Amino acid sequence: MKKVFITLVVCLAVFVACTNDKEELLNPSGNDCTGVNASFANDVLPIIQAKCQGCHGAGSTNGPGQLTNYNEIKNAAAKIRTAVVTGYMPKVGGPLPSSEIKMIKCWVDSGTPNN
Amino acid sequence: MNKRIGGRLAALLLLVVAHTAYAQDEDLLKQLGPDTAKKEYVKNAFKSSRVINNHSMEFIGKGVMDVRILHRFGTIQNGFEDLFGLDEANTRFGFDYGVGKSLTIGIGRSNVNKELDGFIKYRPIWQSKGPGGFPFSVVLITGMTVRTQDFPEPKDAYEFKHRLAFFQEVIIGRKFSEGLSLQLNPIFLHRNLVPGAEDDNNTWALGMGGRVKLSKRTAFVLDYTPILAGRQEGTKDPIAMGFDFETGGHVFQLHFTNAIGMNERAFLTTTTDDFWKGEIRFGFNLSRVFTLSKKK
Repeated sequence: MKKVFITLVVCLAVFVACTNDKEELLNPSGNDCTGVNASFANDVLPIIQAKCQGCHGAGSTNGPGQLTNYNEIKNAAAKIRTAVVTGYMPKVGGPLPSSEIKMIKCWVDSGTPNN
Repeated sequence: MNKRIGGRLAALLLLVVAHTAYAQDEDLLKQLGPDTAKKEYVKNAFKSSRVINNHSMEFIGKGVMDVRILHRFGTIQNGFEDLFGLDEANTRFGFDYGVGKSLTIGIGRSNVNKELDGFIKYRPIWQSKGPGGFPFSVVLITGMTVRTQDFPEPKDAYEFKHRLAFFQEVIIGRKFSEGLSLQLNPIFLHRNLVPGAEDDNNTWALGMGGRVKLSKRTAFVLDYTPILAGRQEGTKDPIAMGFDFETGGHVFQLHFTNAIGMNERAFLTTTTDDFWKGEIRFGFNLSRVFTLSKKK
């Protein structure tokens, strides 16, 4: 029984050492969308083509399916945003650089314009 | 003042009378013989130590190693094109070990975020029948997850602590009959790092799990975990339902769920699919137990 309590106390000590950090604030300039005019054609589509279409190319049925044109990407925008911001995607090649996450995030937050 | 003293004397008298009556009852029970009533712990509330995503009130035995292989596939919406999602697989390998009848430790590794997780599960109160019996079990779980996948550039903005998340959980469960077991499991999750400035580092959820036994080796299980507070933006409540099949030392749990994650941090904060819109995944939990130490 003593061992159980010692273990629980150790876990509690680790738990108390927790922090409340926000990824967006660790690199504020990299995440602030103020003044950012994210373009679908110039910013978002090239990232999707380079980093996502390996698994989400034509004929893909993975997750939201193929991400090859504006309508497909727009329809999956909310999922794409959550997936790249949380680092869940891309699975191949690791998470996107902050600058690319920022572009996708800012484009989705600005209403997914076809610009 | 007199009233207070009178009240205390009455309470004391009541205690003495109650104790005497209890002692007499005990004497009468002794006269009936030594084996008339015995405390009996309630076992096999669930077939597995997990309902589906959540821990269950059940424990593996002392000295038993439970090797667990979990899969969550892609959504079933595309039919035969990707064989109902089987082309896309997420995996967790895990090892649970029964340190005691009411103490289990476990570790695991998921491919999503290349994440390690570990937990300690302890049962201070075990549902039991007979003298001194208790109507339900109480289980305490503490655990943590460690992301081992690289952070995005610029990497030097991150520290090791940002890889960590912690969860604390209480399971209150009862096996109502041979056929029905239900449990509630409030969970508190803390993530040291969350994506957005507005995201809450703390998440509260209330797991609800149940098992309906269909035959000696088959059961229907339901596992629903509504997020009460601190929801990660864009995520849904994890839901899972399926069947348990027991074959010797194996338990197969075949189920449908909207969750991809297979540890508490993952299924509480990364479930983006909507179960009620048909965004459902097939999955299975495979459990194989090995007895490592002999019972004394």
